[in-house]
This record gives sequence, C-alpha cells and structure tokens, in this order.
Amino acid sequence: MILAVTGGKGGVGKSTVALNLAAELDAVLVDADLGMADLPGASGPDLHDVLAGRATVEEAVCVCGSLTMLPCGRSLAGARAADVGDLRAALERLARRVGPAVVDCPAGLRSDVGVPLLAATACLLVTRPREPALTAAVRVRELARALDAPLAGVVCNRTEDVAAESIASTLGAPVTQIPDSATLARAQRAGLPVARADPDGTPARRFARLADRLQSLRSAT
Amino acid sequence: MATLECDHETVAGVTLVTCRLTSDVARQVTLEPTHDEPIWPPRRQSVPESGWHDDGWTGVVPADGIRALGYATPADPADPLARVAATEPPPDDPSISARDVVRSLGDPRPTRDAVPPTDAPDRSVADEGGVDSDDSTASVAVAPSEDAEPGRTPTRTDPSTVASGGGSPSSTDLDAIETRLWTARDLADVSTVAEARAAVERAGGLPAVRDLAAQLDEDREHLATVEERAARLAADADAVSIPVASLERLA
Repeated sequence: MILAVTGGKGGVGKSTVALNLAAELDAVLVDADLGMADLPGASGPDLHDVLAGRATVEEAVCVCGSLTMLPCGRSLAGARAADVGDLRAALERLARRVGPAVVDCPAGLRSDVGVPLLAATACLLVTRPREPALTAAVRVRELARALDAPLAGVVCNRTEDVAAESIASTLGAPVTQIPDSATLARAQRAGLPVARADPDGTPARRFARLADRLQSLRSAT
Repeated sequence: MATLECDHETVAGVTLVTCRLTSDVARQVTLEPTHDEPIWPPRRQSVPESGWHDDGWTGVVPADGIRALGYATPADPADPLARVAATEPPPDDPSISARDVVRSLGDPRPTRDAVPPTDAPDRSVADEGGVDSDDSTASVAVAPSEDAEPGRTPTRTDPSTVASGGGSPSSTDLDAIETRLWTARDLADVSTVAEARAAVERAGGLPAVRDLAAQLDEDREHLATVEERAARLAADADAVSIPVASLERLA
C-alpha cells in the first residue's frame, strides 16, 4: 500500500494527518516534502540521498521514536540533487521491500505531488473548511483522477462542526473531521502520534477510526 | 513500413538534426543515431521530451501520419545521422511515467543559483536543522548529549534529548517535559510482557528508557524548584500594589 496524503494548500495539517495515520496503520511515514521537510528527521541517509542515487530506500528508513520513517533532508543542495522522477520507483520499492507507506506530500500541484499520486494505491485529501483550502483540494482531486489515484477519504482538519456532507459530495469521498486540539499540536511538535499523548481524546479516536477504514488498502500493492 | 528522412545543419559547431518518420500503419518505432557522439534531445522542465532516452527515441508513428523529431549533437555532419533501429506494433496501453509527470507539472528542484556554494550535497550541517522553514519547531533547543546513541545525532524532536534548561521554564521546556511524561506513562501502563516490549521499543530501547528515567528525576527537581519560585513570586505579587493614583498625582 502507498497512501499519498495531499491537499494542495500548505498549513492545512497534511503532516499531522500523515504522521498519525502512519502510526495507526503501522506503516512507514515518508516525508516527501523535498523542499520543506517538516517531519522528524534523523542523521544518516534520507530521501534526498535516495533520489540522488546515493542510498537505497532500505538504507534510508529509520526508526524515530515509535515511528518507522523515511525522513527527508533539509538542505537546498540535497533538494537540488534529488531527482523527483525517481520517486515513484523509490516508493514502490519501499512498499515492496519494507512495508506499507504513508506519504506526506508537499503543498502545490507540481511533480513532487504528481509523482507520489502516480505511485499511490490511494490518496487522502486534507483540507480546512475555507475557500482557498477547498479550492486547492478540488484541484488536487482532479490531478489524482488524471493519474488514476483513487480518493480514499477527506480529512477536514481543525474543525468540528462543518457541513461535512457538502464537502463529501463536492470532493466525492467520506469526510473525517479532526477538531482543533492543543494536545495534538504539541504531540506533532514532538514528532509523536496524538494517541501516545491522549489515547482517549477525540483526535486519537478519529484517526483510529479513519485508519480502520483504510486497513483494506494495506493488502493492496 | 516506417520510413525516415533526415536533414541537418551546423550552427556554432553543433549539428542540428531534423527527422521525419512516416508509416502506412501505426507502429512503434525506435530511432538510433548512426554515430557514437551523445545526443541532446529537446527538453521540457529539464526533462527530455517524451520518448527520448540515452540511445535515441522510441515512440508511435500514427498510420498515414508524420512524426517530426529533432535533436542536437556534437557529431560531425554525416548522411544519414540516424536510422530506424526497430519497428513493432504500438503498445495497447500507453502508460504515464514519472518522467511524463515531471515534464507536465514541472521540476520542483531549486535552481542552481539558489544553492549556496558551501551547501554540500552530502551529510551536512544544514541537514541537521540549519535550513528549516518550520518556525514552530525551530526554537526547540537540542543539545547533543555525551551518552547519545552512537552513530546517531540527536534530532530536533527526539524527546530524550530536548533540554529542559536550568533557569525558568519556557513553554517549550514544559512541552518537552510533557512529552517525556507521555512516554513515561506509556512505559508505566504495560501489563504484559508483549506490551512492555512494545513500549520499550517505542521509547527507543532500554538505554533510552534509562536516560528517560534519569531525565525525569531531573525534571521533578526542576519542577519543584519552579513550583517553589512560582509560589514565592505569587505571594510577593499579592503583597505588593502599585499606588498608581498617588504616582499620577505626584507626576
């Protein structure tokens, strides 16, 4: 399984959703934001090195706390050397040799979003109930359709009471709402899934429920 | 059958080759240069146009249609400069490649000019947080400890290495302590061997658990000091009042 977590707009919570779902699904969390990585990092080879031909994905995967990760470098030189054209092969090799992958995609609609969608078994749209974020989500959904990446669901982040049915019918997939939560934000800053901090809280329960729904994808290649 | 017409001209020492491929039925054609010099195909978003590879071009020529191609090469002009190397029926399902996506959506890499000359592409200081756009985490203090795991540099979010500081705690320090407490609770809440093993693994192994226990001892002392100081400051704050009205009259 390769699940691409995307959304088009920056700051909607893609990394938070990706981290928590990777923990729930026991999958490898891939920081595919080649230019602005913001998930936990570690020393050693990273995705920049993989895409520059300096390391294999198996060498770059590391255990970071409770997460298994393929981290991304943070240097401009590393981003410059990384060939996004090789990202599909890297993700497919990761899924084949290491295990299921949850890919945190960058903002925008460039090829660093398109290539993960091309490789993905399914994608998840993260958005917020605001016009710019929803517009970006619609654009990414169109790109995902063009690249044959099925939409597995929509996460409406930092909100509780929005017209989920309207968003679901617009984007064509069930909506999971994640409420605003200081604990979730602090856990994310610490690089931890919220289930470690507050396992009985609403965000942790919603992520667990969403992961249950996505479990069927795990058997897909 | 596919037929090829080639032409060329030389500009500033570079040979520009133009090719016209025609076929009576749709065919997948492979075109190869007849020389050993490199070929420079047309590019879009820094990626060679669809069909070009190191050895030439492979693509479909439509039935009764023309496929026009062009490339540059440092090879001396000759006749012909290219030949049809293979023809076969067109593939049933032309799939999209990652290169197609890069060609269509653009290469996200920073331009060469944007990369500082000192920013080496191998393991660099910048990789360890020197270039970091995430303001929310940039302020987290990370101090490499002497007993850190060998071969692993502490990361900016490694809970076992976030310093609590020696003075008054900032919200970042308290966040770090809270993070350690989450891990501690995770370790304390086990009831079976399997749960214990999983919790230790999540915490980063037994050495990390020992470090965490020692760090929590320091945290307790630190929090007690902070609590005492906070109580004293609160009492002082209760005991003092600024005579604003009197000061205004005197001023």
